[in-house]
Amino acid sequence: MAADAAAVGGAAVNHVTRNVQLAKLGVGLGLRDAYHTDVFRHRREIEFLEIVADHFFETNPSAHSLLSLLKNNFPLIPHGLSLSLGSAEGLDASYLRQFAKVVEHVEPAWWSEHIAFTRAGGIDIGHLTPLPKTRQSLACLRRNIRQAQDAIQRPLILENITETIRFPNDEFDEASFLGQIVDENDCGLLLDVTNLYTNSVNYRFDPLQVLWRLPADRIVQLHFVGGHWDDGYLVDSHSHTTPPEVWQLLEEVVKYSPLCGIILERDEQLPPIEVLLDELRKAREIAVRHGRFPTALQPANQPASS
Amino acid sequence: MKNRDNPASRNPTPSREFAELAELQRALAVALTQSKSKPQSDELSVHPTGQSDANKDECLNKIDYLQSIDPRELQRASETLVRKRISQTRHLLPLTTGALATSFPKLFCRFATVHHFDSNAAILLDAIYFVRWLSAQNGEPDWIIELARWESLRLSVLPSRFAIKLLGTRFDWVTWYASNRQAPPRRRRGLWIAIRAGTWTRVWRAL
Repeated sequence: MAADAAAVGGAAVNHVTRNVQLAKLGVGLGLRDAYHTDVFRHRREIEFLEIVADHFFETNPSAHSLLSLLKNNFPLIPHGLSLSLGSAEGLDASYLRQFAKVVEHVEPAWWSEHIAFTRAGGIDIGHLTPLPKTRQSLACLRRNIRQAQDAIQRPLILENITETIRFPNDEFDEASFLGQIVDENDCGLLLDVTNLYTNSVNYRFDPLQVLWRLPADRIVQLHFVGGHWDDGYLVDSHSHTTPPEVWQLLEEVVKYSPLCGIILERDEQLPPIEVLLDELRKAREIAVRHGRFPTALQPANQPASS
Repeated sequence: MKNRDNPASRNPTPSREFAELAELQRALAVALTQSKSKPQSDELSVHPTGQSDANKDECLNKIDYLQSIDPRELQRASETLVRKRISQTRHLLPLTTGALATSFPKLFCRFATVHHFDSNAAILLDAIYFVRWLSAQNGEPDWIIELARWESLRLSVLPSRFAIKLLGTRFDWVTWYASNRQAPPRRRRGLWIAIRAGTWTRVWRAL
């Protein structure tokens, strides 16, 4: 199925053009170690999986065989954490090469990374750090994205991050910056609804005013999850069930854009899988209600032996 | 863990076109990680190059790039980073962090004020060095310290392609691990061996 999905997007095409040209993958889960068994038990309810590409970089046989097993049972989307597309010092060639190997093995419909930098001056920060919204950042992203697209011949979608820092010398607002990045580089947008909501709360703006200025035909995939409050600030900790405000925003996004996939991205305080499946069902109901996905669930691949 | 730290590929020189952005990013990286000191380089040869240490000193002098940023935001960003490291360390040391319970985040925050690893193996190094740091602290029960060493035995051989490590223990970790882990383990001396050869890694009880 993963290969079929890629074919829809155009296996030989390295750039996303519009979301209507990509496969509709449905609603899925960000894979975490704790759910390795559960996702197979419930594979009829999980339409696709997002895997952290970095976790499969090691050349040890177990990581490779796990990846093959997952690929045979689910459409997979590799998601990167540390490519550092916003680094002024350029990309880590070794990291990019390993990422490309994972994508080559998985043959996904698209792959994703963040609009952020994680490395500067020889320091690995270890976290997604926001970029100033300036022309220089746009140019830097353009150079790095082009290099990544040359190395990985699959459609790339880019994710908005939670901003813990805002720069006073910004030349663009959030919507213009995101829109310019995806348009200039012919990428899709991985719109993290929770990140957009979190930024809107912490920096006091209307998330819908941002959403409605984003190019609807570039929104390919969504992330959603719940965070927690800490001393008056909303923290994007991926640690709680999705709050009503994020559900409302998610529904607005689904109404606004003919997107291709929705991923629940839970990382902390991991609950039993049933809790996550409830959230997946709810997300699916919203997408079906607005005609984004077919009514019938698209079950993940059956194992080759069945 | 495979060492991907080739300085040539990891620290390319930024072009002049992005010099200003590069300075800002360097200053921000230093401010967020507060890389004041780090453990002595040893067999885990995955530390940053000397070149990046020089960069850090230089960056600290250029910290005025950040003057215009709200210091509360920098503080919050720094805390977010530590929170993430706490979460990653929990995954690598589930037994130790479970035994430490609510004191683990507090201990890790103290650890994080002096240790930040500038490496793609940073997650692994955080766990390994947290155990070493914990061992040097007074205040945690002996059995938790030993549990941390036992649990990190496998992690400690991963950075090398070939490694052998021995660890003597005083407690019965196998029974404890299989039980509900609520109470301290019973005493039973043991000798453990961890071997790494290429991508093959095993830990077992020798005695």
